[in-house]
Amino acid sequence: MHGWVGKILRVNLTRGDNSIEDLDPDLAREFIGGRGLATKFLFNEIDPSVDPFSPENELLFATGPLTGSGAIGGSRYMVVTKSPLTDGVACSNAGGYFGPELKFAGYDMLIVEGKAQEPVYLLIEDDDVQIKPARHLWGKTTVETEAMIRSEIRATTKVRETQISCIGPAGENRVRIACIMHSGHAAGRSGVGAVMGSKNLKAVTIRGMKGVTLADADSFKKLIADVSDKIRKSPMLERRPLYGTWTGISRAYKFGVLATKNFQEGCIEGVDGAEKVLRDNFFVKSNTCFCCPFQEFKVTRVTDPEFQGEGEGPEWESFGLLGPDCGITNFAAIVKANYLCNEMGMDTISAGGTIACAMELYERGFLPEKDVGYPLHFGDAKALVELIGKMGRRQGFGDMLAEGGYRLANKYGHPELFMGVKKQEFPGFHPQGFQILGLGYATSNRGACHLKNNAYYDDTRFETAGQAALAKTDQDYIASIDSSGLCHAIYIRDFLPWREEIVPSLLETVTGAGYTRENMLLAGERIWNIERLFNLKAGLTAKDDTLPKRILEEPMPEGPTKGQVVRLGEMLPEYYKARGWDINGVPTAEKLAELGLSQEGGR
Amino acid sequence: MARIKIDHNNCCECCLCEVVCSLQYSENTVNPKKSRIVALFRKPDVDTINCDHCGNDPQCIKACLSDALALIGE
Repeated sequence: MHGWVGKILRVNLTRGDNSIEDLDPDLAREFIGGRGLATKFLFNEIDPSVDPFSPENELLFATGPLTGSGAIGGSRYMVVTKSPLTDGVACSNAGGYFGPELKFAGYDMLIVEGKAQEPVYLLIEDDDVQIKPARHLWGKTTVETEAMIRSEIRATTKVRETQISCIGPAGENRVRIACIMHSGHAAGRSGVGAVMGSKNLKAVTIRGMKGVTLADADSFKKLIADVSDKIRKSPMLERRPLYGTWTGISRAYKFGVLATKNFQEGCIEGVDGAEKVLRDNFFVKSNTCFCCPFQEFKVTRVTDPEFQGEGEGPEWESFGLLGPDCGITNFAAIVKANYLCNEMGMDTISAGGTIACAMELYERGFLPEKDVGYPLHFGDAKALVELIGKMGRRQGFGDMLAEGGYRLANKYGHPELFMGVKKQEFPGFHPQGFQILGLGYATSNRGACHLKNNAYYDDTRFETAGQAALAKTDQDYIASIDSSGLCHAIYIRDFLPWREEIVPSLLETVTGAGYTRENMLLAGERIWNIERLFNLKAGLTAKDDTLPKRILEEPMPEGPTKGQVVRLGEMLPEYYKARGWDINGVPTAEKLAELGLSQEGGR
Repeated sequence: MARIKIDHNNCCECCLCEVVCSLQYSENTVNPKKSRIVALFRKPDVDTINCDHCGNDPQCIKACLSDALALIGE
């Protein structure tokens, strides 16, 4: 095989052993890799109704055929498991160097089964796989954990550094919004870190000395030269290293779709031009991922004595949820809150969304002050920072917040104040400003998510006609990107006009498996449907393809999106039709046959 | 003697140079560990090892999108 290395490493933590399996080339071609292939394995191997924290759940780290292939943006790995937040399928994507290193060690995928009796970490060096004790790492932050493992293994290695993915206290404490961190990059959403913690697995450490073979290296080199040429001419190469994703804040502000005060509003004073403020006052340096020249990853520093610190981020979505959504525009506090989430190993988006939900519950008198210990008003920067630490360690009121916004709002009797989909918090763009975004959030298989449908355009933002088919195609395209090992940021936003030509060409020159634009999109559709089947068997239904009452019924009060609600009812039936699903959102037998999923549908 | 110099101020550690270098030396295989040029985890004293500058047409310099590489000296 080319592109794929053709091996899967399976580690059973209950038994403390491991085995290496061959990857079936037909399965690889049909599900590409990453999100697709891992979800197929999860679907086959676990009962979708299983408790996400039980040893029967599996945790899969999966690369795609383009991860580590040298394709620009080919740095990604995907963590797939049953989510303890949504109770459906989770797929959390991260960049950096970990995915390529897994590939260079000789594995397309790492499957972790069972549960260790004591805390452990995995040390993988090519064919040598060891389960090492990690009692001394338990309780440490993600930053401390990486540093300790590095110093521990440095003594025994002559080759260059190792790549590490780990959890922090949040994952250990089964915080339902815990993530997995790799050198500041997060496989962030849906609580994948909590599943890792439930298995007593603190970290995965990888060093690989092997390579990835290419089916047609000459064509590949020409293709990369072509992509590089387009990048050189793109204004993005100037702007991205300067501001990264921060320009998203100004964009959201401009359209009045910035998540504000638990999505009650769409804009807040004090954040216009935020990218310049962050650049001038907090920026230290830019970092990047394997084979990406865009340097979106920002290292920052806070000098304000109250919120002092240094670390990574925030990305724009993190800024939106930890900041304006909590009514906070104190930049130092927002950046600090982001560091704390990273150190605790917690999803910044869900953490912000959950605290915003608590603030609204408090302001409306549904959350008693005695439960928190102090008043919890929107705009309280000090409370934000304090509550994140408590959430990660499940201390005091943090224990309740650790359950996420959905469970919090339910506990206090007001589920309508939870702002999200399928129990997962919304990201930073308010869906009322883009109808298609509302549809995308509502239908995303992993719950509210900004990375599953990017086809939102400024000039058609209030239209519902034709949006269903557009969303469907974009979801399929993104499913194939996620599975290939490429990065969203490059192949979705910037290269929009020619992405559908370049991605299949990259897949084909690397794998030689016969990829075309058509069968790549079909694979994307197959992946979307297997996720749907998993969710249906896990107990989710069409009733979960919806948005909070506020988004559907309460018009945006002010700003450029004033007066809008999401008219989901105008789009959802059309969407099911475009998908080849029945009115209950269940894939029809014909559709499943077309996708080669008849057997899975009947299971 | 000519050599390839990495400007670590410009280098973003994306490793594209390592990728194209390894493709020059190991047939059809991307393996940064076999690259003659070392970009990741900055090693101030060693920029390249056993490098023949691809016959005076270094592929790593062509591939770099960050203006971090230059062929210097005679």
